[in-house]
Amino acid sequence: MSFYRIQLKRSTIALPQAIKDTVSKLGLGKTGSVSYREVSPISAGMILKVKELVEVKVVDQALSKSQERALRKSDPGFVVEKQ
Amino acid sequence: MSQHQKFRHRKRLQAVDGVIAAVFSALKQTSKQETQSYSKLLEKYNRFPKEKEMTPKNKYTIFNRTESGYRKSVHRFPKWTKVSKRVNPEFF
Repeated sequence: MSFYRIQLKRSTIALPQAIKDTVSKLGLGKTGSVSYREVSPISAGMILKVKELVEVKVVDQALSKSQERALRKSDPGFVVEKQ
Repeated sequence: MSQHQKFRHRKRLQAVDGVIAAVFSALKQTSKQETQSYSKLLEKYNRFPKEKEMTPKNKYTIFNRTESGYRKSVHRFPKWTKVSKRVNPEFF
């Protein structure tokens, strides 16, 4: 099963309510927020409605919010062996 | 429009093309036989020209019935960076 990884790149400020609603129903909030949707004609239509605002990648697995956050974390430069 | 404005505009058009391509390539892979379920979407986006296929006139100007020459620069169009208006009326 594959998923669309959708990231909101442009803000919805001052755009029509229908666009804002579509963006929120895709699970997106602020710019930069990420959501995953199963590949289906329904999700495809929703993404295409807001195609100017989002970046889409096709991935095999949907990541959780914490996994997404872990990907963004920078390398601290050390490893804690014992605490 | 300045050269750099046009450059950024082209990049945005290309980004939209990328989104459309990604969406449809995934759809094709998942539902190989069931093209009927999204035939309307396909039909709509088959008529949507890519940035490469557009003429400079269509990229940088947009149809307007009140303008002299029926064309105005695309950056005068409200929300022009967040709106796709690539198909103009025939013969204009």
